Amino acid sequence: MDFRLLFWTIIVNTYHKLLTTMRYTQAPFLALLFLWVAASSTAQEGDSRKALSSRIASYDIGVTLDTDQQLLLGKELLHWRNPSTDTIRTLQFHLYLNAFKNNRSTFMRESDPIPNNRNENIWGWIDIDRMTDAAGNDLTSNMRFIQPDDDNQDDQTVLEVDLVKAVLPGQKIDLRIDFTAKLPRVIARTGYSKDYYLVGQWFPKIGVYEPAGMRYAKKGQWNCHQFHANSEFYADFGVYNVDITVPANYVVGASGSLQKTEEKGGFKTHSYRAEDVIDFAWTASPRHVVREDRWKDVAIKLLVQPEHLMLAERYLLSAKQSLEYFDEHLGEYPYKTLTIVDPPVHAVASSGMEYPTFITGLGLSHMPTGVRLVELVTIHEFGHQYFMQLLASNEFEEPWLDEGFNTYFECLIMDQYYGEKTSYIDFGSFFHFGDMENQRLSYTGMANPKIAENFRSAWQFRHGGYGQLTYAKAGTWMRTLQGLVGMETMEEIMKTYFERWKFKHPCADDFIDIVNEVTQKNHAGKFGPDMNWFFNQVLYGSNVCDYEIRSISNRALREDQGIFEDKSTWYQEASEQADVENYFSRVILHRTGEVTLPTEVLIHFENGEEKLEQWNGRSRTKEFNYTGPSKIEWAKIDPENKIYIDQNLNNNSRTTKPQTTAVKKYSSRFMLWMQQIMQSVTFFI
Amino acid sequence: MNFFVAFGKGFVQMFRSIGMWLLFYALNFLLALFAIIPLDNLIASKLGRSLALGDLLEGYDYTTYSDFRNLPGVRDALPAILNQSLLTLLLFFLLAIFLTGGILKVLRDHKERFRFQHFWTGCSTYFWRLFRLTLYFLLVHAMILSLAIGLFLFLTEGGNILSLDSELEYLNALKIAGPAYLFLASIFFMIHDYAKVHMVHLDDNWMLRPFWQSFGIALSNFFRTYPLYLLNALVFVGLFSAYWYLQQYIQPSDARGVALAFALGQGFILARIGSKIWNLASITFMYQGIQQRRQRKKEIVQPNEPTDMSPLIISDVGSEETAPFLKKEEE
Repeated sequence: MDFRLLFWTIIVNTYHKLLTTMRYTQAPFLALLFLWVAASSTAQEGDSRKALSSRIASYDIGVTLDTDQQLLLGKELLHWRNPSTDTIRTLQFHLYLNAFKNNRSTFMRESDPIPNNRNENIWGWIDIDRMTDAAGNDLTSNMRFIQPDDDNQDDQTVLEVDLVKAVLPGQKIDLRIDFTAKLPRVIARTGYSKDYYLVGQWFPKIGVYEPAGMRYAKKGQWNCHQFHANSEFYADFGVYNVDITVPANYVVGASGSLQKTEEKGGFKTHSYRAEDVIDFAWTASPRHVVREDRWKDVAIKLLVQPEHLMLAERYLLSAKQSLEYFDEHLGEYPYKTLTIVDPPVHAVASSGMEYPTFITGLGLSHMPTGVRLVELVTIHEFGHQYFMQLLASNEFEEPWLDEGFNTYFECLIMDQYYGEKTSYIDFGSFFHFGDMENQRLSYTGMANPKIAENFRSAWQFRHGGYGQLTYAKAGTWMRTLQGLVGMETMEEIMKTYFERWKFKHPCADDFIDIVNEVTQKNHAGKFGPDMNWFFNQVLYGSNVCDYEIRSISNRALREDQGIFEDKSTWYQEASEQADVENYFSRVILHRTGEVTLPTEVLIHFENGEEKLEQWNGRSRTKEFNYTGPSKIEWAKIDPENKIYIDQNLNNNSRTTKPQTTAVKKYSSRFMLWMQQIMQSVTFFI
Repeated sequence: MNFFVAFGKGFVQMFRSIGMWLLFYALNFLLALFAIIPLDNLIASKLGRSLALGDLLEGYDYTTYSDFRNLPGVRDALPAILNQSLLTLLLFFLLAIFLTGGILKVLRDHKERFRFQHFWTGCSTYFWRLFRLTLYFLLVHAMILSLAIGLFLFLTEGGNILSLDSELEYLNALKIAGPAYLFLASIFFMIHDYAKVHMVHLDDNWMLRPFWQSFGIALSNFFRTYPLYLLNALVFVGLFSAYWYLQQYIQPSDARGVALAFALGQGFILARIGSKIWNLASITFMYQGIQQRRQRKKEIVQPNEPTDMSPLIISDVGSEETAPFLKKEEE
């Protein structure tokens, strides 16, 4: 039952009953009274709903966009609750726009290459003009920048404030913060470009206070990292009421749902409310064209550039596919809105970004349908509504838990809706590949896949490998885990993980505990007492996995020949024409990688017989011997392709019969290409 | 000469020169084979016994290809094979220049019976001149391309995508610069063909003269020469379309299919080479037709002039030259 509908029905019915008993002249007064009651109830709607999260950090923000100077003039009211049993005397805030203040910030130093632009208009910054507590104490002079991750004194992305009055355990504090922010030229998915604004990481946002026992905290501590090149999310849940004032002709989209708009003096204020989210972002541009759709009770709003209107259906369809898949395979999407922003080409740096209920896509005019970037980016960014937002892991410290899991789901969705081998690029039989296989190849194709282990803070991939390991490797070993435990168990693992940790801050241990619990329940010791051996290798280790069929031999068994102990058969005439009845056949397997995973080996004999052997995959070599009437024709390690993390799938199989036709097919094709090119150069003669 | 007539005559002539046609094809085939043998060995040695390769008979597989490419031995070998292919390409380019001289000589003297001796003489006689002519026209094409790129950059404010409102501005610029380039380039490709033919007919060591004169010949008869060029281009488009259409019906998933696909591909290459000879032959006929027309005009204007003095005058390009092929015909 929709309670809002029930409420309005009661209001309207009561109003009609009263009207019939009162004089006509009193009706307008009554109407106003009821409208006020109704309006008040709508405004309080979010508060009246059951909180889905702990709502530790909530914000009321009023912000005005100055489009001449790309400035944000903001007034913020922060309501923060101490979630610990500690008495807290200092607060820590993210001031992320300062990452773009100059080329000495940690973000800029980590970025490659550092922008070398003297045009001051590209830079961005944020200043807190005034900070006061509820008692009116001015805290502005108690503020200082700190650098918890490195010694970069020039970085101003984390601010610490000494409180005049400490926050006792469980107590709330309200802070009034006036701030001014200058948006950078679009960089790292925030900023302005011409008349397009994508405003993310834009307000003073409080860090996460981790009580002792939460994640890896031994004692109560602030977890408030600097802004890094590769990570930016870790925040507490809360309710955001944000009034955005922009020129009246600007079309606005934002996290949460639009409550009301009010136009005054050429400006329009858009009031948004987002509940149980960890962040808030918005966009404004006079060029946005709005397209709307629904999936169940989720209103999907697409803000698309006029030149990308032909992509609108692709954006909306992929969003609905994502909603459907996540709903079925992980858990319910608990919000009523989803806003997708399609950035213009000059602001392509704002493409492919996730904020709560608000994502940015990637599209180019006339992009062929066989290039599924629109779909892939939309599905990936939507996935972050779950991995990062609802399951609010720490992207700084465990980026794989966010990007890796999301990549895994992105691939599942892409492959389900667009085909396993065609989900990314599909130019028919000429050229095509799938998302999952592309992710695997991003990892296996690395020059050095051992460059780092997966479990590493985002800013610690100093010498490369962040993208391939955090996204691709993690996605690939998740697919391998699925292969090992089976799809059904894997879904149960993910659903349990979601149900147990939604609106919380899970870490690696929490996930591994669930894997151990569900696997043990469903497979009862098949993989040992736990699955830690798996995570020790793929998550905490950097070794690679590669199994190989080294050789297949088939030897005809003949009667004894030669000299034996009893001397009775010292000679026997050998006959080449003698009928061979049995063969001694052998398959030799090698483990050329360091990672050991249990696998299966399928042996196929010439008479059609097949044997499926189990191998724990631990020894360096392994052989399977057979004596029988038929020769081995071929053998294949991991016939069901469960060990997707294997570096080279081609050497997983071997046949005794050379694949001459296939070799000739490709050699002749390359030869024809060569002939074509040779003939084409004669154009210039 | 009507461009249809030249086109038809060129077609007939293509079959009369079948020896050099097959020779051109044989060289193309052998050099490509030479370039591809290392790759064939590499595939056979690294993948030849993998079931994954067998699966490729059913169709392309990105994983199989990428895992093959990522193998340490293959990673090192592929650039070497590519380098060898590039060198082969360069060798073929030079050989093609060499052979073009012979083709042009045979076409020039088309009334004679085809003899390889005659053909080889043409190859050796005109190689350096055709080589230089090719370089000149490569320079011309580089300039045209630069102009087109310049036009594109001009229309897109220096090509900086961040300065544009939308990528449609790129597309619109391409819509202007692309056809402009294609039109201009096709004209210069056509002039290049007439320059080759003219050079062989003049039999002159001085290269710049035929280079400049060919502009006059081709452009002053534009409505004959350009439609003929387009017709020849259409032949190539037709051949390519036919190949594209037919190859869809061949599934190279077994030995028979692979052999059929290979045969179709070779047929297409053979046809492409034939169309090149057809193009040169039709242009030669058109060229000779133009020169004969001029000669007749000149004879009408100057009836009393002794004919043995100037059988052909290329008056509109400012240079008088005797065409040896006409001399030969008169003899």
